[in-house]
Amino acid sequence: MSTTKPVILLAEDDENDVFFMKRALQKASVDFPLHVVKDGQEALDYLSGAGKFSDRHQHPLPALILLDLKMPFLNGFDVLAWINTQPSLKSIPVVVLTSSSEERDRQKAAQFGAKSYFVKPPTPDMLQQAMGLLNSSHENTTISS
Amino acid sequence: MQSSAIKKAGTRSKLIFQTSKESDSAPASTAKPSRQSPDQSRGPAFDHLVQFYESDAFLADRVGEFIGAGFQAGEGGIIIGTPEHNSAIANRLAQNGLDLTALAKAGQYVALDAKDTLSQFMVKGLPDKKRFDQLIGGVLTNARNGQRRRVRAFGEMVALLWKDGNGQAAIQLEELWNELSRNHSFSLFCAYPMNDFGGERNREAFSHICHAHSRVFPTESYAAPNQTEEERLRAIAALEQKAMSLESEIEKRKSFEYRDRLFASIVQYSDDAIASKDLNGIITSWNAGAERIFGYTAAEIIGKSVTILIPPELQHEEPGILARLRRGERIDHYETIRRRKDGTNLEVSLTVSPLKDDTGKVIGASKIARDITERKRAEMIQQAIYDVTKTVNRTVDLREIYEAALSALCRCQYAQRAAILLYDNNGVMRFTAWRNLSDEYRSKVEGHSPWQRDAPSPQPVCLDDVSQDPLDANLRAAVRREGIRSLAFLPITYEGRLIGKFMIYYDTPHHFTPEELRPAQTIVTQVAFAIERRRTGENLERMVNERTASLREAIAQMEEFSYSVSHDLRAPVRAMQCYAEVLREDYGAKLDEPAKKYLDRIINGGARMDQLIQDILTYSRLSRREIKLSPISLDKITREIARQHVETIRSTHAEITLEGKLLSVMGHEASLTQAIANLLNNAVKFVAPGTKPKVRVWTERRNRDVRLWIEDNGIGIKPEYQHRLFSVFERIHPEKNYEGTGIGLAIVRKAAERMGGKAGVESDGVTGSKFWIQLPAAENS
Repeated sequence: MSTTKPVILLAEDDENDVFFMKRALQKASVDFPLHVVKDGQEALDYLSGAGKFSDRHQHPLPALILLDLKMPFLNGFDVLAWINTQPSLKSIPVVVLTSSSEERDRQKAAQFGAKSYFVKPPTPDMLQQAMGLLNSSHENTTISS
Repeated sequence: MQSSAIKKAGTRSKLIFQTSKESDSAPASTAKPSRQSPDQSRGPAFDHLVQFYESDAFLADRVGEFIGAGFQAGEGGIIIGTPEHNSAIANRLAQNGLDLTALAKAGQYVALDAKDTLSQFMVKGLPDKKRFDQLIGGVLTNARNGQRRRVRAFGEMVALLWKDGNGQAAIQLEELWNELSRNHSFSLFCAYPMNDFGGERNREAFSHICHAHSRVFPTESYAAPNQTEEERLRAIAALEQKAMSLESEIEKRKSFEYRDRLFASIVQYSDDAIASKDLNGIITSWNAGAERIFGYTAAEIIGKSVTILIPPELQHEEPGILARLRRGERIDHYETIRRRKDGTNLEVSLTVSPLKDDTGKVIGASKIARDITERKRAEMIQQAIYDVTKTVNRTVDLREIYEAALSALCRCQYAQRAAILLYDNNGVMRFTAWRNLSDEYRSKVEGHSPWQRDAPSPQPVCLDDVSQDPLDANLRAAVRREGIRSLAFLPITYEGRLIGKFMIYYDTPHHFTPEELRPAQTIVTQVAFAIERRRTGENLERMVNERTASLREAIAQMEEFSYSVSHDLRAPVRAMQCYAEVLREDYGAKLDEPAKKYLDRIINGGARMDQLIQDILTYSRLSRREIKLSPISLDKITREIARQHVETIRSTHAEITLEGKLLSVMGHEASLTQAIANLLNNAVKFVAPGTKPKVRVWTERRNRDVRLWIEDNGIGIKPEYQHRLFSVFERIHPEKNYEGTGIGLAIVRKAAERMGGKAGVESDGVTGSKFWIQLPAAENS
């Protein structure tokens, strides 16, 4: 079971937010390994196994992606758009976690296929919900945000 | 004829003589004038009598009687008459047995020719007293034969003068006779034929003559010797009646004459054409108005057919008019076209009335034609200007306005060709709209203008005849080739600025007058207005577009700013807040109470800061968000908000009651939700400590609007603060008691206004508040 333990990918440029996420996951008792990328481009590299992420053993494909919207280089929407073009990645649920409570961002994220939209800071409740997505996606059930 | 008259009268003359002999002297004014006779002298006094007569025979009888009686009394007798009268009198005397030859020999009888005698004392048409006295005095003296005999004289020299029209001489001569009587003893018998006194003009002279005589005898009709008294009175009565009827007849004639003259004068000097025609349409009279209007003189047209006044295409009208006249009908104010002598047409209003003879039979018609050309033209111009004005008011489409203006211009000016030229962007006048101008002509003359573009106040330029007026050689050639003979340039100006021109063209010379061009000027003004209005509109539109673009840019920048704020500004706040919480959770056990309290304050401060940022974002989002209104069920969204509210703020145990089913409004769901949530939040928040919040919500129909009421049992707002309540960052209550950013109600009002509604509050400041939002009702609510 431990060898097949799913990985969570967090795309987040703010170190504080990375810290709060880790703490929240801990509080929510989620013990899945968390891989962190610092910007959109790194997210793409990780997902496509490019460059320093080429080792899939070290950097396995995530079962859940927690995605910040406002990041340097490529932003969260760019990442979502790219994922949509990758058939092998399309099934991975993406949860947007952002400081923006703007309605248009919420709508845009849904359009781009994000399964859920949370406004920071993350809470154990939110993460429980996100993990729920993970489980149901494993059971091939469609969950709408 | 003369002799028979004398013979007939002769019989009567005896009767007179006899009757008169029986009578004594009697004044002419007595009731028995016929009893008087010329032989009734009044002794030695001068007897100057006058006899009016109708027939010569009667005269001869009367003179014969008068002179004969004298001879019988041994008096002398003088006859000064016409040769015919003299001889007739002599006959009468001879018939009465007098031997004239013997009497003449004795100097007792003298007969003189009146005309001949007159000539001996008339000087310059008047009797000369000296000569008269000498001549007639001598004759009297001789006839008196040494003062022993009186003399009787018959004279008709006065009658001759009268007959010649020299009444003044006649009256003077009568006077001379009277004066002569002072020195000579004689009786004088004067005679005037009554026929010479016909006519009113002789009334005064007749009275003079009568006055000059001591006795007056009427004609034989009223003084015939064989008349009885009865007959004479009847004759006089009949005469009086005749005189009376004559008087009245004369008065009537006079008034008829006056009326005829009046009518004739009215007809003659009328502005209208007044004519008459017979039933064949032949003109029988023609007044000065008709001469002026139609150009024919009366002499030219009387006897001709009225059809020469009717244009060929309207000739069919006349038979119809004649037919109606024959039926005795009148044709009233019939508007039609007639033709002048010079071949031009005019518009007339005809009134034709049948003329009837004494028996009522229609024998012709009187015809009054009023020249309504001017009136018709005025009406047409008015209509043309109205059409242009209407078009200018109805549309901003300049092509349509140009067409309407050209059409009106051609109508007003009776022109076939016209054009509108406007300055293009390069300052060249270009044909913009035109009527009946060839491409070649337009290309040849385009760009030409009689005015400089910056001319201060350009005036119309009229060329009455291009062959006479000075014109640029090239232009003249083009104008000639086009067949244009006269043209006018009318400047189109706006506020003194030249923007183009109107052109009017004729194929013949045309005398342009300022009066004639006035309607055209009005049309030009209308077009100038339309052009300028369009330009202003375009400028305005451009300005609006530019401003809109810059506003959009500002909004885009604003959105970018807000977006950054929501991320970047909130991130550090969140960090502070979260680390403080981490500190409390992980190290709480090691901190004493004051430290924990400070941490709480950091956390609260962070939370408030975050809320503030979010509220500002909400407010600014409301201001710039595009609002599309749709029917919103207040019932549905308010219940949902209340449900969420109760869930989130369980601790307050607020009681929110919705009364009845809330109505629906036209609104924007997100904005409305935000506003209602804020109001509900306020309603439960501002309560006195220890009081359970109770909120009552209901809707009320207000004409076409719906008002949503939210009533709380809170602390209320004093009226003096209420006006500040809805402004950004206004807080009525001290922060330490009640949390809030001071933006909530500003958001409510802004949301209401963006949705076309309003928001307000009612409160006495003691027993809670009643907040409301009013929006247009949804169609089906």
